[in-house]
Amino acid sequence: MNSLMKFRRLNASKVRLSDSAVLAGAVSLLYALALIVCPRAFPELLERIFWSGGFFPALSLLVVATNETLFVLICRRRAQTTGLITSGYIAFLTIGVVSLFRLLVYGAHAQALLSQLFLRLPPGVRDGISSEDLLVYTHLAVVSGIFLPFLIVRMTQNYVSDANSAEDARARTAVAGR
Amino acid sequence: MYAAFAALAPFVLRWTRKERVGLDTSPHALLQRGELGLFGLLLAVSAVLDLRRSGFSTQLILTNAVILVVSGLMAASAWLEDNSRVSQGLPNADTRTWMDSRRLLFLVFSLAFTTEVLLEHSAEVWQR
Repeated sequence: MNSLMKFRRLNASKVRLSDSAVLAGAVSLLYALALIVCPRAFPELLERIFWSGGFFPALSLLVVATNETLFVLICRRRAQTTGLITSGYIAFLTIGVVSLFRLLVYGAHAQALLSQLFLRLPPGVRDGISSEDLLVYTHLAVVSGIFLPFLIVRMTQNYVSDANSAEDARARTAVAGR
Repeated sequence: MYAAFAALAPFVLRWTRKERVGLDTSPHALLQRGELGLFGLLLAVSAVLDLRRSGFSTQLILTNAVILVVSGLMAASAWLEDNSRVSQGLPNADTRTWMDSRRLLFLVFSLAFTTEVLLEHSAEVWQR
C-alpha cells in the first residue's frame, strides 16, 4: 500500500478534469479572437503591461479568482461542500504554475538580452523578449493556470479524498471475488 | 482532410445501413466510448508538428508542445479509462465518458487553433 494512503483520509471535494477543460478552452479561443480582431493593439497592450511591471501578480490574481469561482460552481453543481483544503490547494497550485511561467519568461528575456549582447543585432531591435514570444507565453500561462491545477488535483485527489465511488468499490470487490 | 474523412467515415457507413438495420447513428451512440479523446491526441500531435517548423526558440516550442501533448493525453485518457473499466468488468459510464471526451477535445481544439493563430501572427510579423 502506498505510504500516502496510510494517512487518515480527508473528506475533500472531488473535481473532474473536464470541468476545467471547458473554461480553459473558452479562454484560449477568446485569446485567439482578441489576436485576430486586434492584431496590433492586443500584443502592444500586453507588452505595455509587461514592461510596466505587475504583469504576473495581476495574472496570478486573475487566474486564482477564476479557478476559485470555477471550484465553487463545481461544488454547487455536484452538491458538495466547498472544502477549504481543496480551495487552498488550488490557489497554491495556480500561483505555482503562473510563477513557473514567470521564470520561463524571465529566462527567455535574459537569453534574448545575452544573444543581443554577443551577436550584436542591428539597432532598432527592442532589447529583451519579443512581443511574439510574450504573446505565446501569456497564452500558455493563462491556459495552464486554469487547466494544470485541476489536473494535479484530479491526479492526487484519490490519495487524500474519501470521495471514491462506492459503486466502483463494490464492483471491484465483486470482480475480485469471482 | 484525412482526419475529417476518418471522423465522417463511420457516420456515412452506418447511415447507409440505417434504413435496413435500424441503427442509432447519433454521435453520442457512435462515440460513447471516448473515441473523441483519441481524435484530440491526434490533433495535439499535428499542432506540435506545425510548432516544430516555426521560428520560435527551442524553449518556447518545448513548453508549448508539453502543454499540447499533456492536454492530448488527458483527452485520450477518457477513452483509455472507459476501456480499462470495461476490461476489468466494472460498470462503464458512457454518458460521463462521452461528456469528458467532448470537453477535452474542445480544449485540445482551442489550444491547437490558438497555437496556429499565434504561428500565423508571428510569421506575418517576421515577414515585415
